[in-house]
Amino acid sequence: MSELVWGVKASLRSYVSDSEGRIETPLHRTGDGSFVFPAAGDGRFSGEVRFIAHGGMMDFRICDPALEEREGNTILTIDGDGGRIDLATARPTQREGRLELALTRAGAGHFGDFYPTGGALDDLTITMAAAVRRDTIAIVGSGPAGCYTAQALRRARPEAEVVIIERLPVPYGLVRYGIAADHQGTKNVTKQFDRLFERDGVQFVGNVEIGRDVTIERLRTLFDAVVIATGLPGDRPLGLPGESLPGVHGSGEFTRHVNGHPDDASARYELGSDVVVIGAGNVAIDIVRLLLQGVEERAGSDIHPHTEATTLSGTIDRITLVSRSPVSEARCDAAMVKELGRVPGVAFVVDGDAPEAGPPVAQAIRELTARPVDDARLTVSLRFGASPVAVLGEASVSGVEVSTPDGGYTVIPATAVITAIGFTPATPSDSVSADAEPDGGLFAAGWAHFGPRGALPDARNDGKRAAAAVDSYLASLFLAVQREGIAALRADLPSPAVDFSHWRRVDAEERAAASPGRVRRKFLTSEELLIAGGYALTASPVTERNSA
Amino acid sequence: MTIRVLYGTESGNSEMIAEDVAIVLEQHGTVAVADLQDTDPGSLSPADLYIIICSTYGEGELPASAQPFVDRLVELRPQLDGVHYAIFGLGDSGYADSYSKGSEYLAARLDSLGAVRVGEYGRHDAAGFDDASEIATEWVRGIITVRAAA
Ligand SMILES: Cc1cc2nc3c(=O)[nH]c(=O)nc-3n(C[C@H](O)[C@H](O)[C@H](O)COP(=O)(O)OP(=O)(O)OC[C@H]3O[C@@H](n4cnc5c(N)ncnc54)[C@H](O)[C@@H]3O)c2cc1C
Ligand SMILES: Cc1cc2nc3c(=O)[nH]c(=O)nc-3n(C[C@H](O)[C@H](O)[C@H](O)COP(=O)(O)O)c2cc1C
Repeated sequence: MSELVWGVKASLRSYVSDSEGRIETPLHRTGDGSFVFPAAGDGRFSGEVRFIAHGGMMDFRICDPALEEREGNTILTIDGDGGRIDLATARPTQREGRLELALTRAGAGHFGDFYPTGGALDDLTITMAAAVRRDTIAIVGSGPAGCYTAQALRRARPEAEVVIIERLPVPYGLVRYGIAADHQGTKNVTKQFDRLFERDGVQFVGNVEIGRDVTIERLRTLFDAVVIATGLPGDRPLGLPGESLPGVHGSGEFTRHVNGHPDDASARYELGSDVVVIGAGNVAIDIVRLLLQGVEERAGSDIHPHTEATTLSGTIDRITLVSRSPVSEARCDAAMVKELGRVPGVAFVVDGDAPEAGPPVAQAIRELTARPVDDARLTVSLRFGASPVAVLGEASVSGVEVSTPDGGYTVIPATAVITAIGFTPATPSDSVSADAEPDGGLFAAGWAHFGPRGALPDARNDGKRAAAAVDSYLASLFLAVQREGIAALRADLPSPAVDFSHWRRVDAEERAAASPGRVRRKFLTSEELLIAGGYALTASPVTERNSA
Repeated sequence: MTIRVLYGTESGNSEMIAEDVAIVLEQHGTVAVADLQDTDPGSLSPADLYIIICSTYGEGELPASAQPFVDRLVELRPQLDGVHYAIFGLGDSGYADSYSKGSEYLAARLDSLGAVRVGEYGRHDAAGFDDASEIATEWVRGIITVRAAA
């Protein structure tokens, strides 16, 4: 059990005995005369001490002390006749669990102005059995940043309660819903993350959206530290006229769709014959590759047969990649470009700013176009140094107007446009976006922290950084208060969360349902994801099905 | 003798494998696990056995955490006669031209300084369906057998 050990004020104790008064208390006292107040939970302690002298003329009561945190300050409060009194402010000392106290105005008044405001009381000590007091950490978002943060935190604090809260019923964020369906090898990092939940005691709390099901403020009262790792799911807009025309899609939305994300899986896409992809980062190249693949190249992927039959049904004759930067500054990796070149039956042409000898990516692009192809089923045209100036169309998109390096303008015909120029928070008012400076136990990791750049290794490094920050924050807490953590969170939820065993069942079902040549068949809606894992939705037929 | 498991990684897979391999090795002696970036190439000793787990990045390059080690190795050129190591490379044959080239480069540098590679060159290909942990623990048992016979 934890307890508060405090002598109140040594000089007061001697004054009382010198003036033949008495100290009345049922509390246990230590060798140096301090009083031992047992914990009553939540930073509160119980018991009373009275300092009585001069035949009762002086009667100071210290009753049920508590430590409260307010705006980054710790206040020692006690029970008074008219309610709680803020007696003193508390500051940590070098010694863990030991606090230095300074009287508040009200505190000085409580002692009949015997002592001045700001005057010191005895230091008090909070002792805690390690088994009782437990650090509680909530990580919001189960993408790579959240998982790598948990991994590093687990190493630093093996005993802490670490929970990862995820709005979807299934874990892993962009590993499942961003990384391309034909890059299954890259998704192998989930084997590391699986261990967090299966071996290392990190709890997965799925199907819980912070900001909707629980407020961030409430979360912060329940956990010592909260790490925002919610990513950046919004598509950065072009800022050009016409971009809201039907047929213009963001890369985040489109890759979620192709990856079977519940938010976008059932959207309808009619890409038509001429697709323009704006941007030349790795995400743009992923999209071009997915669009130009034939059925054979999709072997070993987890592209859903339905998506293949609708969105990826082979209507495309030409894909034009439009990039503002010159080819020598293309942001994509050379390896990604080379991979495009391995898809058979595709002719590549470079319009405009032709690649010169330069960085590896420029070389790779030149090699693409040098490749002889007879009987191409599809042409990919790469236009570097071309800035989009407007998206054209009446009822739906019909073209993209670009400025060319020679100062002219040209219109690229388009039946669909996919913009891949970066990511932003979901909505400008997103309640869990993490641009606020971390303070008092709030931290951020991954894309929510450093922006939509980089790959898994960057998320890993940032997770380590965030975990170190959380670790030193926790070490600086002398924390009297045992936060309630996950148990209290569960009691708050509008509907039950799903745990990691739920994901295990969904995963097994998806793998078992894979069609030939596919590694899994994803469930495309949250309802299906919930049911597949055995979650009883409130609608009765489902409940019956599950209990049967 | 200490069995020193050293890993070079970017996304953490090699670190996980290093931990798994260390669990197997603990039945055979004193084991220490370290990131290559925290390892001084000048400290490699014939008295110990080194088990290296390393991935490949870019186009056949070393993963970030192995790079400083190899840079130092090339700069210091320590005499590695009698230093024994075994190596397990993580890669992805989807990168057709550069499959596992990063760990191979590291092995070649060690060899050129006189180190002796023991046992099979272990490999995990992320493009396949094998579980890296299973393959690696199997592989390291083989390494122990080879060492016991030596
Ligand atoms: C299309 C695409 C392809 C990519 N391909 C690769 C690749 O091949 N290799 C590579 O290394 N990197 C790739 N990346 C980059 C990689 O995905 C990112 O570096 C990484 O996912 C960032 O991790 P994160 O955890 O910050 O964000 P995310 O992965 O986006 O994770 C955020 C998580 O938070 C959850 N969440 C959001 N809001 C809430 C809320 N209010 N409450 C609870 N949970 C919430 C989300 O559902 C999600 O699961 C790709 C990125 C994209 C967009
Ligand atoms: C951007 C990138 C480039 C890669 N390049 C290669 C490569 O050239 N050759 C190779 O064999 N594997 C390559 N890989 C595959 C990794 O080596 C493989 O995923 C490995 O499991 C990663 O291990 P790590 O987490 O320890 O870094 C690459 C992976 C990525 C994400």
